[in-house]
Amino acid sequence: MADLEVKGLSKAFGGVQALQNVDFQAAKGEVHALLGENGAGKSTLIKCLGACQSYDSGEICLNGKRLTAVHPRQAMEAGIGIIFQELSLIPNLSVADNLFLGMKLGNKTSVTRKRIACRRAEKIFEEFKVEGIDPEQKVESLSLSEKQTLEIVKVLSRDPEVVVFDEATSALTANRVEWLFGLVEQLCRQKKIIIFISHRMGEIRRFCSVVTVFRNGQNVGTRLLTEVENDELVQMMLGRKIAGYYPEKTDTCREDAALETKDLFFEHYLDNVSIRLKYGEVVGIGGLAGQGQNALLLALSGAVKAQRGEILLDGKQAVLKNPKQAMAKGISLVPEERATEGLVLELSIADNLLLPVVSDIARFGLINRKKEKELLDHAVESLQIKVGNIDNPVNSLSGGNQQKVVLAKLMMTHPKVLLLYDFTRGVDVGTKNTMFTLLRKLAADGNCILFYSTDMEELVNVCDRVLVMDQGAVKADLSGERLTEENILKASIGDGVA
Amino acid sequence: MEKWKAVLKNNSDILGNYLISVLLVAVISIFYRGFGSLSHISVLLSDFAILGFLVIGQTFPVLTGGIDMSVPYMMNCAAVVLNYGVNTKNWSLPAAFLVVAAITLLAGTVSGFCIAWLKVHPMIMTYGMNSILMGALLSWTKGTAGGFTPEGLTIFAKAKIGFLPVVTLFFAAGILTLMLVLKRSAYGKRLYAVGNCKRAAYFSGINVKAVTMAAYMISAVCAAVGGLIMSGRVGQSYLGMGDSYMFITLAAVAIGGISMNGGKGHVAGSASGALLITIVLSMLTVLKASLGVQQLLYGVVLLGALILEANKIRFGGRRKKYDH
Repeated sequence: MADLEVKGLSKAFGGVQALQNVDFQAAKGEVHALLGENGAGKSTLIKCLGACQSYDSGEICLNGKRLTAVHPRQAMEAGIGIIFQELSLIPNLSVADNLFLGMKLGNKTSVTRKRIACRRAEKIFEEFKVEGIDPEQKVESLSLSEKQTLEIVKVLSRDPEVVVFDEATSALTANRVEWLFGLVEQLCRQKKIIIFISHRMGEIRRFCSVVTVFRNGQNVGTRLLTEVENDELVQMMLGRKIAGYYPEKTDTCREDAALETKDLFFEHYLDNVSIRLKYGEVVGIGGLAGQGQNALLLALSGAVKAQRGEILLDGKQAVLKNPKQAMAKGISLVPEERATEGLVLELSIADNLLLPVVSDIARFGLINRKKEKELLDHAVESLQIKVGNIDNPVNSLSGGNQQKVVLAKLMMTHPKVLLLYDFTRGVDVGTKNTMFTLLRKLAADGNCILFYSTDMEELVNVCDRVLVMDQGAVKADLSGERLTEENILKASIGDGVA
Repeated sequence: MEKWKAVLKNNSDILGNYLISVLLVAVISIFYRGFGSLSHISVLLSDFAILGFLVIGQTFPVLTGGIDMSVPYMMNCAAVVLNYGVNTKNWSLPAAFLVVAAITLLAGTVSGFCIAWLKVHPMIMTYGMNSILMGALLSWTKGTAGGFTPEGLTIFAKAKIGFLPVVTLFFAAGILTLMLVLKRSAYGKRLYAVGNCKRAAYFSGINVKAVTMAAYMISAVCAAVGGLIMSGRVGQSYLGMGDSYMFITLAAVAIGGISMNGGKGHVAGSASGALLITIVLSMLTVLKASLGVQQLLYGVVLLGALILEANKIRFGGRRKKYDH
């Protein structure tokens, strides 16, 4: 009998079968990866495991004993710790308070509670080798990567027997991924059961020993990672073959510059950034998270005004006061947060797609139905968005399809320059492939694309050129043979690049 | 056909409001014969038009996630300025209308500007505007109320086709126009985007501030129209004529299915709330409820509607889940 055993688990949401009679086993001391497209059932399985959700039939056993938890707290007490992608931290409480939320910590009303909590927090941080986070700091002042780190520590500090990382690395900076790697090795030695969900092949290969693939709510097979190729895994996930993981790179770069910046400066964020982007070029921005990449994209999209420096579009100085003006001039941004910046989740797919262009298809303020339909049909077709009904709210789509809607929405304005902020985060392999193919096609059509990603593998395989940022400054400009993951990493941590 | 079915299904609450209104009239007229008579229904319909204009105006700020507390003096101001201008200052009627229009738009613009650009909280700003208008009226008219309403307006406000008041037809046209604005115009699409998620709207190239400001201007204009019709029906204007409307408009909007958090609902819905409230108010008068009881009930109805609206999912029992 396996140490963690799931038998015949089924769960349906309305008419959708999220899990179909799923069997799954994991053993102590192994790092078990779960792979699958968005909506394949990985998250549902994890939620059932953590009692965040009920299931219709089947059972879950830990060490041969059936789990009967009906509340997340009971699951936690039974030894199941889950680190979710969506953070469960409370922003305006301190780091220490968040760490011990819901835990007994001596006298509840004691005036010394704060001191005890801070001291315990420091001890825990020491134990888990976390640096650079002050226990008294409020959580809202932390970066996304630090928040994710805190979330990991919070769960691990309760010493669970089963540790689940649900896309816990997607928000981590490169050095923190290293830290996590060390931590996972240590957990392995302590004979914990570790389940690891990620969309990044590179990390799965590094972290894990066994992989189980899900498709459409079913377990389609478990393999040893040493005995399986990426292509086979992708095929298992998709149920079909795709030509290649990344589209072929062809040099479509043209002579004339699309977008230039001269000594762009914003205190603490941008340190005299001067870049030159040409038409037909896909340029990546790399580096550790929070090194000014977001500020640069926001400045170029008009959402933030730099304190000094200028932005040139087609060689002429461009005044970009807000995203509206930038869009009118042909610069569009896919913003960081899909749910709060990219899309209006409650509105329909159609309304979201049309937002940037409603004025263009309106006469005397009223929308022309014929033009509306033409635009919508074209958008859905060109990006292969899987929509049941275009009048359904956009939050009825899966993450990958939502991101396609964001992209399709921006393409409505026919931008010359496309700025993308980590837009493949949490997007499944099949969709990524579609999107990268689209990016290369847009470049071939003469568009200029600036693409920030935390995934170095993506940057190397998709971009013609990668700029590495560190502390607000562009530290390296890598292209051709010098464009390797190793060089990006070196430049991001301040090493010289050969 | 399918589309219409979906529309009906999504708006079942609103249909329910209209149905309940009709049933209420039917049931009460069993006990009080006059309640269901054509002449009384005609009275109800013109009351409905007055409250209705205020409510469909209020819908717009609420859709942005804001609120308009300046409705009482916005309507009062329109009525008093017109009457005082014509009676005491000897303006011609068209000139008086122009002044009313200018003042209304100005007040709406100032409120909207301060809320959108200067980031004053909508409740504080519009309540302040209410107070400013009240003070301005008091000092300009030296406390007199403006006097009688010009004849043209009274004729319009009291005119009927059969038993149907013209102002109710005028109001129906208002609903249709604003419905078109909400559902089929570029402004409507932007308004819903802003109401649901300002940041996403901003990144989609929408001028969030201008959209917000326009909502307060629309509300001001609708309130003024309501005020003028009321003044026409009563035959004169008086200070404080709009006071009781402050919370009623909010209650009607909430009953009509407009989310107080913004971004959900439409004017046909809020009009259903206005109709229901008009009938309930009239019912209370018939039942000879005291002013105190009426005020108390406003409060209870408003809170009840807000609690229902905020907990719709829980009470509805059908919890939608999207899980992947």
